[in-house]
Amino acid sequence: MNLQLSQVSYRIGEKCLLRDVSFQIGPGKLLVVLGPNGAGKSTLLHLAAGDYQPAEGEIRQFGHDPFNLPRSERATRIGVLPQSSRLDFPFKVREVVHFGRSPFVTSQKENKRVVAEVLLAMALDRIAERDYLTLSGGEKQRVQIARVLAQIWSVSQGTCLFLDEPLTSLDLAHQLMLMRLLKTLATGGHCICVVLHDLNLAMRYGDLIALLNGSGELAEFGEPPAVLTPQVIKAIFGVKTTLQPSQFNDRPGLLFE
Amino acid sequence: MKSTLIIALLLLLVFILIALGLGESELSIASLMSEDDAVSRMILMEVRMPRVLLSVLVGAGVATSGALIQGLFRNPLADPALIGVSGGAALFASLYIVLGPEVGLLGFGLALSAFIGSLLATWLVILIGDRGGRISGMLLAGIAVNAVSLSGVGILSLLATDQQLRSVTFWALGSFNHADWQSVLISLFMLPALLRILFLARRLDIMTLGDLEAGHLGIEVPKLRLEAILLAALITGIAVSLCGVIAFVGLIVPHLVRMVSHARHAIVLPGSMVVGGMLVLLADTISRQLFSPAQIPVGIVTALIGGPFFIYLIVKKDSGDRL
Repeated sequence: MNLQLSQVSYRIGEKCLLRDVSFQIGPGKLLVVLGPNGAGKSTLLHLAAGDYQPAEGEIRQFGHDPFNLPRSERATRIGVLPQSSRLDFPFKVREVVHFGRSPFVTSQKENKRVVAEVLLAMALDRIAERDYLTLSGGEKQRVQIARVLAQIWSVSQGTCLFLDEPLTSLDLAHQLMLMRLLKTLATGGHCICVVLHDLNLAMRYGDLIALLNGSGELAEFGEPPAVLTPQVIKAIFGVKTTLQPSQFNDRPGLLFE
Repeated sequence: MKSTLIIALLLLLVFILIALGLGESELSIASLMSEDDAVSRMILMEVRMPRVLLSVLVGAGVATSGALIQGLFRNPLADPALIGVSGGAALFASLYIVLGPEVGLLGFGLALSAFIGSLLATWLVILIGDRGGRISGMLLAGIAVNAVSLSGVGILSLLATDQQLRSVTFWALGSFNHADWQSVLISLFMLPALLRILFLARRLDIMTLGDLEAGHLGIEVPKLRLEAILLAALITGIAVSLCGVIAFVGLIVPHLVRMVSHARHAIVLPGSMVVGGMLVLLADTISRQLFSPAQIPVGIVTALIGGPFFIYLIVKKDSGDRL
């Protein structure tokens, strides 16, 4: 198992952000974390990534407690994209992506190759020499994603990628591009956890869905068609939904009231 | 990039030669070469040489620790003065002058005292700022600590004798008037720290992404932060003890370097070293030439240049066209 959470709870002061969450995912899976605002999606992601110590329960990455591993070792198999990253220094796009290679002692040539591939995959090759600070919000987001991808790119097995709302500020084409890329990476053996808000994209690209309710509990966990039913969506988000067969995909689309 | 650095170094050498020649008494190579002009040689070796060397070394130190602090706090507007380090150093330097022993190893004792002050101030700023958990919290804490330190300097100046007051004012405004070979010797203690900073370049690059992000990329952030802050405190402490607070150099020099070349710390750190040395030497030369024989404190000159530049940076930042 790449990632195991057993009865994990997390609280800040008196407020309980996550309650008794348990699930596990193996290699080659794309997990989508869904839930209303403030349900604890980001908290769950950071806990799973080993950023916070859980109040109760256990987290295992590849069978290890992340807090027992040195940072440098974790960085070779765990990539994390926080919800928002600020960078106020005028680095070039290529350099920012190159930072993702820093945990590795691979050759300069290998690093350059990986960076070039990631830039291409994220459609950043044309702006590779631009100053990061001159980019638009969506472009910056893509650069940060590329930086995280560069971290796990050349490794095929035994990695976990955590992305917190990577689609915010991406346009439709880039959203789809990224989801396809994540799907390909998952198929290649990476384990990917991604927080999304778009239920249709979750339905279409997710292998598994972890759905949190408003009080920080794992309401549903399973394959998208089993989780994203009109009843469940009504119960969690309070929105009426109908399922519509899609001509592009074997999974249905969702239409909202 | 390497060639730019070499050109800058050569330029610094030229600056040094020019500065050595400038002053109340004319010095020419001819007069120095002639065997019997002992006075000229005295002026050169005992007055100008230590002063010029000290200003270059201090400038290099202050500018480099500015670059270090900016990377560490990932804020291009940070500065050792803004996070309270210089204020703490000035307060403890003043404490030493007013309340400390009258004789003895004034130089070393003063340097040590300033170093302790800069460490304490930094520690306090981290303690307060970390509670907020935000980088801006740390900057605000630094401003508060700085203000309290400077009011402490103010109180001490009321308690001081005339002679001490002169010294305290000198420390608050910054000046190389007291430069001698002993202070040059003390300033050499900055060199190991400066050298060490150069080895942090790659990790500082990654720190600019954010604490969390740097952790994800394998950096032991608390350890790096502690080391960097100790280095900045050491350098600032020594610099302040030797020549007082030289404002804005730590802020503007790394910016200048980033503007003309690159944001990578492998370039910004050595670049700041050279340009910092150049700028402070220039400012000191102006400060002793402008109203010669009267000398204005060099801190006033750097603040006069740095203040408007800082405002320019803020305005530029606000207009969205950030550096």
